[in-house]
Amino acid sequence: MAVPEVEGSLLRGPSDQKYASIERQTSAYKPLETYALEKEKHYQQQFGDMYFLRLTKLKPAVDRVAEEAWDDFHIGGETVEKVERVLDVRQGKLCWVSGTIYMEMPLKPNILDDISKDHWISAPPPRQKYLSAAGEDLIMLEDESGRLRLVGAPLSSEMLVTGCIVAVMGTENANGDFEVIDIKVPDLPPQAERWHTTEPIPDGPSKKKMKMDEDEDEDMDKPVSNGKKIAIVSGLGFSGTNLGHAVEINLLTEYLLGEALDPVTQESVSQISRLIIAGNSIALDDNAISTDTIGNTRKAHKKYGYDSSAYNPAPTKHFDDFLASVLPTMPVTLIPGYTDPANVSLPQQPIHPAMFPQARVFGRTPPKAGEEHQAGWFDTVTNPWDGEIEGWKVLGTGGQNVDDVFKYVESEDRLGMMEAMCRWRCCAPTAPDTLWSYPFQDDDPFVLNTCPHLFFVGSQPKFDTAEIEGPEGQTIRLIAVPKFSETGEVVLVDTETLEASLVRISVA
Amino acid sequence: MADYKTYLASSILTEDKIVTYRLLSRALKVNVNAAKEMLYEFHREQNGRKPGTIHATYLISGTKRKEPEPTNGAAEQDGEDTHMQSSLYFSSSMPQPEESIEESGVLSITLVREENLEEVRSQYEHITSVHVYSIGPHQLKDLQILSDITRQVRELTADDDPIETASQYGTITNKNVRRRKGTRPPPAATPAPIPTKTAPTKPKQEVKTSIPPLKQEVSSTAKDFFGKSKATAAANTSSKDKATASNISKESTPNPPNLKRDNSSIFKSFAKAKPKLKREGTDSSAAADSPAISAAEDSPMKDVSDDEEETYVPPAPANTEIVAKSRRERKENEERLKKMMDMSDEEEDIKEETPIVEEKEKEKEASPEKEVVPVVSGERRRGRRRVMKKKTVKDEEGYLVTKEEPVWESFSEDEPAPAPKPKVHAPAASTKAKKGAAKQGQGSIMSFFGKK
Repeated sequence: MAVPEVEGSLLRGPSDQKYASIERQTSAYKPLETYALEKEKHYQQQFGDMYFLRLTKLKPAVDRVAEEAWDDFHIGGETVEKVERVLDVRQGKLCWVSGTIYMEMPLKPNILDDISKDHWISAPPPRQKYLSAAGEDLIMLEDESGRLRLVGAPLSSEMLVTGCIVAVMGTENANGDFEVIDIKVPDLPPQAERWHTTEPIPDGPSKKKMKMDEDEDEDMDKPVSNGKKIAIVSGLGFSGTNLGHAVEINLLTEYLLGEALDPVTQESVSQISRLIIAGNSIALDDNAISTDTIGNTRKAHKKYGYDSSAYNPAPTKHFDDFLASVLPTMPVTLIPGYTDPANVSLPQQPIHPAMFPQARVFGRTPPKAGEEHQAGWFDTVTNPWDGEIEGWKVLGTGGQNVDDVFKYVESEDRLGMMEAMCRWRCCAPTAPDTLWSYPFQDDDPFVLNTCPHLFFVGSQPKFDTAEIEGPEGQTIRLIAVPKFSETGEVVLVDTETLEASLVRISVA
Repeated sequence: MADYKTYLASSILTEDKIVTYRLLSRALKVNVNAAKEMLYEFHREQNGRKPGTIHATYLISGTKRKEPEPTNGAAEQDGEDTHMQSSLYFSSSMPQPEESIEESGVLSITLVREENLEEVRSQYEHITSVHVYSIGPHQLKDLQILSDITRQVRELTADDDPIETASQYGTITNKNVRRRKGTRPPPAATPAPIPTKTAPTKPKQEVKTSIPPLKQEVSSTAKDFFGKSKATAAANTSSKDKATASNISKESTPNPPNLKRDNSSIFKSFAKAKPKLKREGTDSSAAADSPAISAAEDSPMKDVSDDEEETYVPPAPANTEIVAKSRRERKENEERLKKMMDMSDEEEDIKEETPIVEEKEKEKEASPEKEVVPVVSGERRRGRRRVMKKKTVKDEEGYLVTKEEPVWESFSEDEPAPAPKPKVHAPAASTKAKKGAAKQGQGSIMSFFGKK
């Protein structure tokens, strides 16, 4: 057999070469607890308060944008005037007003329909899209005073979903509908600089790099990569029944451990300072559920009891094994997703470390008296999650927010939806309408008060990345993280340039 | 270093196993990169001697060429881009899905069989590294089998501290790693929490030796049950009444089988203290001190509680050692108990008389839609409860119709026989009734614990 001529080939006999042990890069990391709920949760509140909170928070921002754009705006000799409330819009008068979008869609799940149909048919399967082909969808603008139906050409080109806050300019026509001429959104929130709240870790090589970067920043040059990276993976999909990608996961482990491939690659792997798992680590086992309903003789007997025989510990066991092998070499941030063993409604709370008997020793230690609260080496966090990694403000979700917006719009462009969310200043606009959410009373944490530098979303159909800019020079790196179980892909983000690259693991 | 050949020969040729570089490195405690070279050398040597005896898999990394890329991403993407919504406010900086996601930016890692190596290599534009991943005696039909080797590696290194051994195997080390100190090591691969027999006996002993007050309290209550059943017999309740009584909340039911179940469920709340406590009760009344009897008593209770959903842990047969050890203590306890029993028996007898009279008087005045208002008279709780009574009437056509009707009756906690007054018809709203029932249940439990 011919030996391929490759520089990183280990296809040679054993030599006495000593392989130096490689040290992994440090990770500057500070999680924020924006989305952590209190221990005592109440569900008696009305969800309507969330819309009110969101509107009061975002109305000033969108009003400012609209005022700038439409101040002294004339159409046919008529000046645009601002109207405070939706109800104050007068017919035939050119005006602009801000409010919350509400999409009236016949195909959208409706709790009242559900209840009335409950008695006759089983629940309809979840829809791919709420969009009606017949064009029966209505777009409304609402605030605390009332609702206004929006019509007009600009709507067809806009991405609009329930819950986003916009300002519209136009007139009310004879039918009582509002003819939209233009639409404005709050646009990106103000962005803090890098290393806003955290300090760079004084580390030998990276400090040198930092100095270089500072010099170059003055020259307005692009930052230079020092090779330091974070890895983001999503949809590991550990399953109890289907182990179709077990080897891929093993290869991922070996790659991250720096055991696979040649010393040169291993050296570059050591630059990966952190692994972020963005949702759906445990796969849904549809099979297991269906067999349960068939073999229900035992269940009928055990009317109130918990049938422990139906529980399959394999997925969490495998996941725990994976974490336990990766954790000794790198810190892990675990964001739950739709299929993970956490609560379903956003913000999903951290998966309890007790799920991981091996990995939990790396978890957070309770802070001693007077000691500052320190993030765990193995950090199970909320979904959505925000924090600072290497000084960058990072926002990440398990993917439900984008998946739900996807159902409202015609587009397949996931990055476009992510951008829209940033410009709406709301990372989960469709909550609480079609996206399950905790009924917040005092604050809507989904509203983005500050602009992240990096916004990633897990469990997307394919990898995609882009950089968007805001009016005040804000930049956000958007990354759609693909499902590992389907693509075998891991995203590596450079911590200096925030550029994303891909590692694809496959079995031929 | 040289013994790798022996190891590989025995594993692969003799034991018919597959060996990956990780398994080899763990088995021989060598660096993974050295292990990869060993695999290659062994594979080359063996196949040089006798071609086709050893089959290898390879791990290739590098950048792939664009055309043979099997993922349908590229083609789809172009299609999508055409009907991307052109947005007014996004138009300024609509994200340009960077086509820089071209294959040159992707590090592709492929695990491939020896047979397909050339084919896969041709898909690569640039190969950065390649090494033998595993060797085995057969051609692998499904590469997923290799995931089983990972499990073997895990078993092999189960006792090692991965942080300490990392540098030995060439794993990337991290000096910042933090672990909780002082925690016990994670459980082994099969952490089956099977309740062993030794576990229940321990708390039992503890209860016996260290918490005498609790024991006394409970045993005195246990005695109450006996006292009650005696009183029941004395009251000479009719069969009709008994039927009624069985519908009443369990805690105050005088029915013997129900009494037993009550015992078991209440004792359950005292966890494993049950068998001992039970015996304490019998000790004093029947003066039976043998563990055999107490075990015999336990078994019917277990049967009863089988109906219930709670998992019942059958008590371990009383240990004679423990019995011997604590005999002296028990005698003391018995002494105390006997005193207590005598006292409370007398008390009971006195008390029993008065409330019945009181109750009867009360019933006469009672308005039918009464809520349960527990009245504490002296040490006793009193209240009203709703019970279902059978009522037989002749209807228009002359048939006898038996109906169950809710009826209010008052009761007292320590009343042995709740003398029912079927005349009192309760049309009460169902919500009220429910509330009443709940309250009543709580009240009786409270009195159970509160009894001193």
